[in-house]
Amino acid sequence: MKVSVVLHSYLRELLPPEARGMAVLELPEGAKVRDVVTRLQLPDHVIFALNERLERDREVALKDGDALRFLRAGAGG
Amino acid sequence: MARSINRKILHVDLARGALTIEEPPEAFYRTYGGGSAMGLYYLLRDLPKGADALGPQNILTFFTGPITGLPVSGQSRICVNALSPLSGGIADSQAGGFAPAALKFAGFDGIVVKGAAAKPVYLLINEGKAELHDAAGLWGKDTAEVDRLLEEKHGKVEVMQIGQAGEKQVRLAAIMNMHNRANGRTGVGAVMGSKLLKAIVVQGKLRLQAAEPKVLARQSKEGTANVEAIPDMKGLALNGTADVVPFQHSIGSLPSFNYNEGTFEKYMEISGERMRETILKERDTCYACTVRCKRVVETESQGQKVDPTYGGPEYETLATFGSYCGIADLHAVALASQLCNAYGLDTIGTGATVSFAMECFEKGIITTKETGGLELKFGNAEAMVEMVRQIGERRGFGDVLAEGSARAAKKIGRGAEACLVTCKGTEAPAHMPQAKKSLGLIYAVNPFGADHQSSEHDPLYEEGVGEFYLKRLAALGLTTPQPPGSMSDEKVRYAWRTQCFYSAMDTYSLCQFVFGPSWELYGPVETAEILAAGTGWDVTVDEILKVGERRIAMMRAFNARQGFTRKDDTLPRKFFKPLQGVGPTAGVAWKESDLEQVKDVYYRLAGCDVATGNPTPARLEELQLGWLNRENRAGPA
Repeated sequence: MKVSVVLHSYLRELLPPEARGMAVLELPEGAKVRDVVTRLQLPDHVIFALNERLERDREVALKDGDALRFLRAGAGG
Repeated sequence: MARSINRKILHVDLARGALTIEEPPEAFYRTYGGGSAMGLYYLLRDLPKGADALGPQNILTFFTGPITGLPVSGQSRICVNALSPLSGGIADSQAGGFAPAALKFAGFDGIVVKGAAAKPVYLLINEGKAELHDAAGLWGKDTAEVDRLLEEKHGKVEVMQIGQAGEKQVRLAAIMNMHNRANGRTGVGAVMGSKLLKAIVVQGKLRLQAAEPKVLARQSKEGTANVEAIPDMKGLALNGTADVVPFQHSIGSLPSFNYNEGTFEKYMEISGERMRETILKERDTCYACTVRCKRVVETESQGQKVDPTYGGPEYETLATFGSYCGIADLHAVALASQLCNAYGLDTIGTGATVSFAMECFEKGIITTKETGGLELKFGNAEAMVEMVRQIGERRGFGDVLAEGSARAAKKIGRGAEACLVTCKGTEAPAHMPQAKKSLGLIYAVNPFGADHQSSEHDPLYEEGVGEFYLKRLAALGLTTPQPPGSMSDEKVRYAWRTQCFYSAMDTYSLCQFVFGPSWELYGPVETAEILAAGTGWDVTVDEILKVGERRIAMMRAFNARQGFTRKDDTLPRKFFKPLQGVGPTAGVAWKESDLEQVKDVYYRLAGCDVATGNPTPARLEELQLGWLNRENRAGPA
């Protein structure tokens, strides 16, 4: 299955510059958010939105066509 | 004696043209810290009852902190206080840059300005000496031009000035330094304009000394390492404050269409990431700061060049001129930011006032008849930019909006007040209390109106938050993170404890991105160590919290004298109606009964009378503010 991923903030630097923080990952059926975190070597504290909803459970099983965005929590401005 | 302070405060009587120097004892500095609390000391002591905010009786104070000018990040800040022409309560606004450190190098820790000049003047300060100069040749000019003229005349100087907006007493006017750093909020630029004080110009090479230079040097080195090591600092350095745009959108906290929605479909167009890959020219900094969070942009919009000299937009600016106004044009927002810096306008207040007018227009409360033909609809970038010009010049409908949205709503009538997003007459910044619940309480109770930099935000104390943040918050006795989106007594305690810490930063005049309770470059323990290393005082986290609490009590006491009570601690009517649009906060509203309930908890923690919201005499005594209980305001014995 294919899952689209967007990395925000400093996390973008984990992908090549030309990717502009975006990638489409080919994952095995039953893959979880945790597997994406491991594969992209994202930091432990990273937060994410699955299909535009902020989630906290990394054990959620992904489906074909899901969209993941990884963010840093924000304050200040 | 601490050699990080000058122990010199300059008093300026503009009516008489008299300049005097006060040399307070060091204990005065230890008690009040500097910054906001020191300004409040003079306002509480000397402001006559019934003073007009834009009249000569108002007092305008500028105060640095006890380590401003030392070689460590986040110390070059200055706080301005006065009676606010927006709220009628306390005005309070901070800015960074190089001017704060330069004022210390020029021999002074702070300035107290009274009276009004008979004609435009500027104050020149150089190594312990001060004099007033004729400012006729500077009046009516853009801020960058004023800086150029002053450098031409005096050589290398740092300047704190008002632009045309301050001259015209626009209530949204800021005091600018570097023509891209602003003491923006609460109308302090209008107060300076009412005194015909165009600028404060500082130069000098006096050097200050840390009590423990080696400790400071070690912390400075660790701070530089922290920029890479702490994720939030890395994001801030890379993308500026605008780094938070995607997160704000994701939690439904990105105010859109004048705070009617919490998400913005084209949020990436106004993000820090987009700015970096398009119009960002370079990053800039404040004196001796390693973070470099300031943006410098270069582009064009609507046939006008956006010049790097005016810096670049912060998150708040991108939101207020962007999502608030339904505008996804980064170039137009950058132009609006430049115009605000050139006129000397607060970008938050100005952007929110334009978005207020846009909602009025959309609802037919105002029409092209009022706007002089301008189609002031959401998404109209040309109309937004034109309205900024009109506000800065007090021209056309801009003259109505120059009074700030709360006064404009009264003048417009026809239900315009339902479109307001103001607390105590001051426009709300771009973090939504519908998503960050404890911020709703702080927006309501904060003495100078809605402010996003007066407490730590909810996500840092919600379940699932990283150990790093919790370890730091534990130093403030905060060890029980709460469910996401909740509002509980423990959240109120979190709001109160972190408000005290943030308040102390505005008192010591320290940057709240560098020093803070959780995600910042330095946590509470390091902050205490740096303050101690700078001053030689044995500062602890408890003392920091006490200093912060003292300032909050002073602000509340000031407002009490101005007639404020518990009923003034409220949220805009709009916040009690369900949010529209999509996303996690669609349909979310504050309940009035919930707000009143958390206010009760807050007042008890803050030592305030629950019926009035004002500090109790006992708490004032406890905070060494017993002199405020006496009618004669004679000052401490």
